[in-house]
Amino acid sequence: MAKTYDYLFKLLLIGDSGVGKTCILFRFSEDAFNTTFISTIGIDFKIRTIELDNKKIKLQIWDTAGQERFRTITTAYYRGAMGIMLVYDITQEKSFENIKNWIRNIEENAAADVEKMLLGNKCELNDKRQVSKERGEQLAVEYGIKFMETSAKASINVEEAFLTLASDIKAKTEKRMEANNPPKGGHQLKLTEIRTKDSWLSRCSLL
Amino acid sequence: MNTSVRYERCQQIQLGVLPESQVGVTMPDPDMPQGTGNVLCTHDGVLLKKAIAEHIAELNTSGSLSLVEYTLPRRRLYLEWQPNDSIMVANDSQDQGDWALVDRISGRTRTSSECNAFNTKPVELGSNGNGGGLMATRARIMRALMDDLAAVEVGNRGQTIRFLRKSDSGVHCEFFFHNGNAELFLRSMRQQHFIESSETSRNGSEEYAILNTENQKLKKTFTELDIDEIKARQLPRESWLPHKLVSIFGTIPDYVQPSFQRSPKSRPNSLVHGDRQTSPDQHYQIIKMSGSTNSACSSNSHSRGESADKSPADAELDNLNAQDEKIVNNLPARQSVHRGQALNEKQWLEFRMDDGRISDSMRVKELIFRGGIVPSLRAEVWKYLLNYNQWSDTEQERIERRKQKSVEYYTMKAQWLSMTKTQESNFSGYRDRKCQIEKDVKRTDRSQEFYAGENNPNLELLQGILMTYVMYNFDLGYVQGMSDLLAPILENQVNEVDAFWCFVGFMDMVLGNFDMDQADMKTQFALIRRLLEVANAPLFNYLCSHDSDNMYFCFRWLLVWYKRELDNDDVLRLWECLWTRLPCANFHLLISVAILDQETNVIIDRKYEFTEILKHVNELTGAIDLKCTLETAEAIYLQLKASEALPNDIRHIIGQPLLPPAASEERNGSENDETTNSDDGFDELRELTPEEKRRNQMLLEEAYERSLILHHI
Repeated sequence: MAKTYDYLFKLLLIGDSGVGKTCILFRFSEDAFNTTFISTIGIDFKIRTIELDNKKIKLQIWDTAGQERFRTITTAYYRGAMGIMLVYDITQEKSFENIKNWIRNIEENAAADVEKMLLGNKCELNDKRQVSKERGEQLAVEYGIKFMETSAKASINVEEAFLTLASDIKAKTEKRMEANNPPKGGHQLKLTEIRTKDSWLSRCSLL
Repeated sequence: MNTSVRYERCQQIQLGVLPESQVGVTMPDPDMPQGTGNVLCTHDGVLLKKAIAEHIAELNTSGSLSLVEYTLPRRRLYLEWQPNDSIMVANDSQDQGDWALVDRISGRTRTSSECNAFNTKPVELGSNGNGGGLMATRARIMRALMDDLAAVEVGNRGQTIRFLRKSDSGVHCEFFFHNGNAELFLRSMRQQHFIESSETSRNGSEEYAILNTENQKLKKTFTELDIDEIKARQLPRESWLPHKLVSIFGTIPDYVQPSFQRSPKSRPNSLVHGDRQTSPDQHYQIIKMSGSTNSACSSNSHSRGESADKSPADAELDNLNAQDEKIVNNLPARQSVHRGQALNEKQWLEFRMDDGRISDSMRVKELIFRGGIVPSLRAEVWKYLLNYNQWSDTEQERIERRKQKSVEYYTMKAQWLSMTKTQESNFSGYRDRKCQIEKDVKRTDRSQEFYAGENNPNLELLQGILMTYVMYNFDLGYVQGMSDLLAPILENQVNEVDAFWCFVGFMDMVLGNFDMDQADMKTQFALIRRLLEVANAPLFNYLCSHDSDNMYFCFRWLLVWYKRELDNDDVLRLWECLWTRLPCANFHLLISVAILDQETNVIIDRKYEFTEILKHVNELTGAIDLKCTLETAEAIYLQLKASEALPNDIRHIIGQPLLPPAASEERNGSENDETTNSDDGFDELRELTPEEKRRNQMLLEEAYERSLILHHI
């Protein structure tokens, strides 16, 4: 029940319907792929704990319904997110075009400093490709965020993407902790104190 | 940052070690609190701005503000502030906190604050190794007995709160909320009936009156009281009624003292007895024993495991509390309900008259509600339930109608089939709908044999019907979830025309679920919340105190009527039962209440927070016992229905006749005084006005946001 970890990061997967958000999550959390997936209704999340630089990081990854209609519900979940994966489908031009709308959505609803990353999913379908890798890279540069092409089906870059995002959040968090809690003072927190039960209290590691 | 550390500390404040001079407040009696306090709510990032001289060194220090209940030597409630040197408030936390979530509720501060009622059991100090560190902090606690405070004011746009002394109305202490979220603290206090809104609003600040311990209990009890309990008796202007409450009750012409005649003098000071923070599971058991699940405030000292050494006074108190329970437990006991047999062919033939009309459609629906339909009859009977066939049509009329509906269907189908490539490329609204349908058809019920495999022609049928529905109702178009609703119908009807019109009938029942603004879904959350409040108060209270009462975790349940939660056969059983719209049109909401009812112990015992509840609920898929759920839902319905004193808004939800207007007329006077205060507990007595509904909706959304703040940041 009660797990110990050093950090809890809340991540969010967003992007058009059908780009493979749930599959990416399933690949990352279960290392599996299922062709008979069902559309996501509402919101769900999965948990996986990873280790980076000897720190246990619990990733709570939220998967959202992609259709516009549900945004009043799903955007509500943006707020606590520390990292957001923007996913498009390289075989669906439209899903790529819509990334800018998703970015706007983030700007309106998420924290200003939330870590973002762009994923072009279904890269195993090269013959059906509508969006070149270069365009993906270019868009990422435009927004100043990292980019990867992934394949949940062929298990390409999914693990790497999450580790990258988590690592960036970790760096940012630790930087902030240091700034707020100079090492010379007598009140420095030990990481062991941060380790806590699996509850909202764990947000202590997030401030 | 180090919330966990601070949290433990808050929980384990041991008193008695504090030098008298450090106690920040006039303590009227020498009996200082001892032992461990029970933290009812706590809040970080709170700067002490004003206090008596002893605490001058702590001014402008950040700390945590808590409400702590001590049981020794007497049960008392204290306001406590303690500096917490290691608490850090991130510089940019305020920026983060000010995101606008949903535009219409903008302007409220949303920050990374917490203010939570814990269901904690006191923990003895020394159980961790931080004892030494705690000592230093403890010595600097500023503590005020709530009974010594008269009022609390919030000002400076929710950033400052100040407590006023009872003795001279002077400022006792003032706090600055780093994150501008003082209102969360107040809301928590108000929810637990420690304070109540006061009309005063000078220089734009809000003021709340602090209820003394007796009044807290009273207030809490009365919020649960029902009109019929109150009616037909005389209002005693007893001295123990605080003048504010008297003024509220005074406007109800015939409010009365409960029948067991408690004398005002017999209510001892310590009446604060264990009402607030009892362990919820025990709470639940107590209610079960009293034969009803409608007690929001009942509980007694047993639930604290303190029954061992009880003085006669305590015993008397328990007695009073037990009687309190009786007052509020106004729902009759829940009766067990049993499902019946499915409507079979023989029965159906009996209802079918010679000319093809169906006699006694009401009886047919009752049978279906009670036991469903045998599978072989479904294709035919569903057409009636879904308003495709009319019960009163003769066979001839039915054939005619079917012909006509068939023409209509193919006309609409031809419209999209004849769409040219150019038309399509110039018509983004159409294109988007089509694209979404294509995506979803591929992933709808593919594990069902009917839709399994590549190039399955049934997928094309599914798509065709959804496309035709787009032409039938272009404004709604296609929304995710609709394919889930159609798939079992198509599988059952096979014929696409029949499937389409049956689907139309189903959609007519659930159109609101797919509203652009999701307003109807939010209304349904609010109704479930309200039903739960009446039908399962322990769970309701638990959810409230864990900021999970927004009911958002019911989203998937409601959107596709439990399709994702049940296996296919059960989906059919449930839907045909719900399609009868018996015993009330909102029975699908009672299904949610029934599922939650079955999960009550799990949620409370495992102390689930919002995210865990969501996860638990999402993982119930495949684990819901439909028969039991249907029986529970009906039992709850019958229980509510049998309650004579059921509030009108609940009557409205379950389709019962409202209380006679006389009852609401009597209340007009009080409405005038208290229209702005929906927390007075009396809004149950009448139907909600649109304004109040909006307000309720807003409260619900606030609750939702609060839960997000608490659990996801």
